[in-house]
Amino acid sequence: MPDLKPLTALGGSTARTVKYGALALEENTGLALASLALRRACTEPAPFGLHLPGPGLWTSSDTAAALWIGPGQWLLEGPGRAETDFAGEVAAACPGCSVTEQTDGFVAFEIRSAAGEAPILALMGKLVNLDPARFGPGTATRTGLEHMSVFVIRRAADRLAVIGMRSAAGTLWHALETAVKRLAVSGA
Amino acid sequence: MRARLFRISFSGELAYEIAVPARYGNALMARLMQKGADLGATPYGTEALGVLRIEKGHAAGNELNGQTTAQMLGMGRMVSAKKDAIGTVMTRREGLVAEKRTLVGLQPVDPAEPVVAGAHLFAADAAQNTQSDEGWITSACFSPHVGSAIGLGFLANGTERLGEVIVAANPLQSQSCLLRVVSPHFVDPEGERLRA
Repeated sequence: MPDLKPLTALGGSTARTVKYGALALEENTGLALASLALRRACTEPAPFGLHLPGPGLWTSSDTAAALWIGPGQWLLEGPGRAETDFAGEVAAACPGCSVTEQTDGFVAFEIRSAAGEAPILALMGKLVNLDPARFGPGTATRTGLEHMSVFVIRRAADRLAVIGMRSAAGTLWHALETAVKRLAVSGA
Repeated sequence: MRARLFRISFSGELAYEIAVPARYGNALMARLMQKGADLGATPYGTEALGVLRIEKGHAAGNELNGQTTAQMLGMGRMVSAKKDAIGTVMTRREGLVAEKRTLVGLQPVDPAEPVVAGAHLFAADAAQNTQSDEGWITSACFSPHVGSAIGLGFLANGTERLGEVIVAANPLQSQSCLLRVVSPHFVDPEGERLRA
C-alpha cells in the first residue's frame, strides 16, 4: 500500500456522511468503477458471474454490480475495491472487450432510508426527471441532476445511488444534501 | 501504487508527467515538493509555462491553429514529399505549397518596447496595407531570460531574414514597433542544456 494519504472526492480524509430525518447520505469512497464495451464479434461476457443487464437495468452479486449505459456498454461496480486494479480484473474476466478504468473519474453518493421506500420516492420526486413509480429496485439510468450528468441506481427499495463527475463532487453533494434536508424539514 | 509515467514536455525541456488515481494527487504533489526541495523544485502555472515555451520556440496552440503547415513551422523536412502520410494530400495543395511564411523569433530593437501578439508584420519601409502584409505575431511575452519582450510569428521568407529589422503594426491602437527578426529559439538553441 502506498504511504501517501488519499483525499476523498469531497476533499476529506474520510467519507462524508450526513443524516436528516429518515435519510442518510454518504460519500462512497470505496467504490471501484470500470467501463466495459463489447467489440465486434466478441461474445457477451459474464464478469464475476454477473448476467449483464439490458437497457435501464442494474444487476448485482456479492462482489460486483453492473448497469447498462449504452448498446453493448456497461459500467461495472466493485464495492470496496477502489484501491485495487479493478479494471484489470474486469479486463481479465472479459476477453476481447474494451475496458477502461473509471474509478477516480467519478464520485458515488449512497442514499439510505431508515423508514422504507417512501422517503426515497419523495426524494426522487424532487431530484430527477424520472418517474419514481417506474424506477424500482434493479433499475438504473443516466440523467441530468441540476445540469450535471449523473447515473442514478435504485439499489433496493430503501437505497438509491447517484454517481456523478468527481470534479463536480461538491456541487452534487450540495444538491443532494439540500434536497434531503428540506425533505426532513417538510416532514416527508 | 499504480501510476503511469510519461516523458512529455510542454515547454521543450526534459520533463515528465506522472498520473496516479485522483485521490492521491494532492499527497503526491506534497511528496514531490518535499523530495525536490534540495533541487529547488517549484510549482509553476500556465503563464510561466507559456513564457518557457515561447523562449524555447516550442510551437503551441497559437502557432498550431489548423491553418499552419509543417513547412511554416520549420518542420517541413519531417514530412516526406514522396511517401503517403496523414495530412500529406493537404500539404500538397497549391495554396499551401506556395506559402512562404515561416516561424521566426522577434525581439524589439528598443528593449523597453512591447511585442504585441496579433500585430501584423511589414518591411521597414513598406506602406502598411493588405498587399504588403508579410505576416503576424502569434505569441508574445516578457522574457526574463532575454530581458525584454519577445515574440513568435510567421513572416514571409522569415528564415532567410534573420537580423533584419521590420515593423510590427497594431493599427487598432495606432501603435507600431521596430522588431529584429531572430531565431525562434531564445534559450538553448542547440539543446545542450536539455541533454547535459
